[in-house]
Formats: sequence, structure tokens, C-alpha cells
Amino acid sequence: MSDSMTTSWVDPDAGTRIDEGWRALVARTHPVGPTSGSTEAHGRGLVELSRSELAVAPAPVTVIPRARRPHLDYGFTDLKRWQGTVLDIDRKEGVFWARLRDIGTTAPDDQVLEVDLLIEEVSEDDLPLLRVGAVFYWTIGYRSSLPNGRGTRIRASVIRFRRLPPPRIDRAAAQKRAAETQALFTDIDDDFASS
Amino acid sequence: MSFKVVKEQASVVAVGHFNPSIFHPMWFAKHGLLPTSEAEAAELGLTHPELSQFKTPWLVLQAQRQRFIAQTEDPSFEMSVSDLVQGTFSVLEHTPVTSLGINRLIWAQFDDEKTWHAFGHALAPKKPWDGLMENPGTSRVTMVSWTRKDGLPGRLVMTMEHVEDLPRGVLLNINHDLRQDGDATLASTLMNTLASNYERLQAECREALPRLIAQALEGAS
Repeated sequence: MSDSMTTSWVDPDAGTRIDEGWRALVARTHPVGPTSGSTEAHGRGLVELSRSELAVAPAPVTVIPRARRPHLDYGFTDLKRWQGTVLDIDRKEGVFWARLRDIGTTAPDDQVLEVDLLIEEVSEDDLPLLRVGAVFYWTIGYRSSLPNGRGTRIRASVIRFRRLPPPRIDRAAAQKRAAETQALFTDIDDDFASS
Repeated sequence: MSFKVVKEQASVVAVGHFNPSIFHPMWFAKHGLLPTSEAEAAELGLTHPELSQFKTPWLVLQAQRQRFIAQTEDPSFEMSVSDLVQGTFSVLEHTPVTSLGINRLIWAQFDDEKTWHAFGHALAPKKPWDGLMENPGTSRVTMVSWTRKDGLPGRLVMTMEHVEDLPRGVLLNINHDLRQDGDATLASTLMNTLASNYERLQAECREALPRLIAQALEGAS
């Protein structure tokens, strides 16, 4: 092995050995990961609690970070993403018409696409959200039958509607604005009548 | 391409003052932020005054007293993470949020050991360490941009590190650390920032690793 091949990255096994002892020690004294004021993601995953710890959940909670590993799964590989807006719905025909905007890249395709999509592609949970003007995300890609993108690839299409809480109406403020508007028109009517 | 991306994780981290015990899956369902069926089927980790955590098939959510974290590893739900955080702090509009992280973790595996080492050398040359360490290796390299090219208050932090358990693996941890202007703490300000910038910043993050590797290896050759 050339010199350059032995010194670039740390020996993974040594790192693991050191980390195991270190983790055991630190886990009993300090939560590991970004400090409480940091906006950084947890490279080691979130605070990870074992099932037995979850069962008892004493306070303060003992925090056990999990090993740094990518947890490879059979994951979803996306090929294309759009944000869509529902333009029209034909429930009789079982389709909805939508305008799509390319997302997920810094150089999005400027071309605006308008497509018909089958209502049956929308999950039961999202069906109540299907209405004109609703925003959804459409991702197409594939799932692999084996980890790390290996094995059989199965085409997948995922539609997820945007969920935001309904806008809250400040009734008192709305009533005040309505009264002000009413008064304005009353004044105009009075001026018109007296002219 | 000398490497392949094996996994990505998108997340939003809000820093402020929170009451973790309210962040139960059914609270999110009640406010229309999660489908009821997903909330009912959520894997409940803990609901506690200090820490709440639960998982759904696409979401991991954790709240501590000072940090609120929502993350996904499913690319088809990346935008939903931003919506969920915006929705949460739209409901909790008076909750103080002082800073916001728009983050991405990208795990990648090099095709061969030589390129992996060349990349490690390019990021952290070993010459300065001659005589100080025996066979030094790159473990973690963090770069910070204290001013942002998009003009948003905050900074950009990128950390590249080696990955245990993934042969020839690296992890790029990108943290868009966005701050409130001055002493402001109103959640809505940072939620507007999130709504306006999440999609663009995640897209930039997705393109960062190929660019970094290409530029590092170009300099190394």
C-alpha cells in the first residue's frame, strides 16, 4: 500500500475502538452531539434511547448516542421532483389537472408543465386536501430491493400534499375592520346625499 | 464519477425555548400537520418535560427544551419537513426561536481507496504534521463561512468526516446556521426565512458534495 493510501483518513477500526470506550464514558456524563444552542444536524443521529430506557424514562434522561453509521436501507432514490398546484378536479373521470414547477435543483427547468394526474395516486390520508389551489409535491424515482441501490429497482411515484394549519382569523380585529369599512361607506353615502 | 451517494438526510433545527412535552404525534394531527393515521401509527419514543421524540415512516421528530429537530431520510418528504416546522411555529407563534438550521447530511462511498485517500489529502495535507504524529489521518475537517453570499444573517458550516462502518466512506454535514436580526426572537421571522429559502438551500446542498470532490481532486492532480 502506498504511503498516500495509509495516511489520508484515520484507521476506521481504530476509530471504532476508541469511540466505543469514549461513548460509554461520555454517555453517562454528557449528551453527545451539537450543543443545545447549535442548529447543526446530529451526525450521530438524534438522541438515541434503548427500549429499556424508554420504558423507564427517568428524569434526567440518560442519553446514549448511537454509533456513527449510515444505516443503509433499501431507500428511495429520486430522479425528479416537482411542486404542483391543483388547477382543476374531475372526480367523475378520476383525474385532477395540475401545474408543475421543477424543484430540487439550483438550475430548475423553466418550462411550466401542466399535467393530468389520477386521483387514485393520492393517498387516502391526503384525499381531503385535494382541492383547487392545493399545493403538493410529486417525486418520481425508484426503490431498490437490496441495500445501497442494489437488487431489483422498482419505479415509484410519491405524491404528498402540503399540510399547513388553517389560517387563524382574529375575529375581533376582523369585526373592527368591518366596522371601519362600514363607517367609511356610510360617510361617503352621507356626503353624496348632502351634495 | 468516483463516488456514489448512499444516503442523504434533510433536517430543520430550531433553537429557542420549547416545551417538549406538547410535541406528541397527536398534537401534530390535531393541528393538521400530520395525517391522523400517521400520528396513530407513529413510533413513540418518549414524551417527557425534557425530551420528546417520535418517528413516522418518513419523519423523525425530537424536541428538547432548547432544540426542535425535524428530519427525514426520504427524498420525497424533504419539502414536508419544512412545511411541518413552519406549521408548528405558526401554531406556536409566540414561541421564541433565536436561530434556525437548514441542514443536510450526505453519506458517500468512493469507488476506490486511492481516490478516497487523495480526497482526504486534498482536504487536509499531511506535510505540516510530519514528525508530530505517526501516520496522521484525516478524521474531520470543518470549514466556516462567517458571511453568507445570500446575505441572510448567519453562517454556513460544512464538515467533512470519515465514516465508521462504511468502507471508503465520507460524510458531508452542511449546516446553514441562520440567525435572527439583532435581539428579535419572533418565530414568524425565521419561519418566513425558512419558507423562502429551504428549497433553494437544500438544492445547493445536494450539489455541494460532487462539486467539493471534483474541486478537491482537481487540485490534487
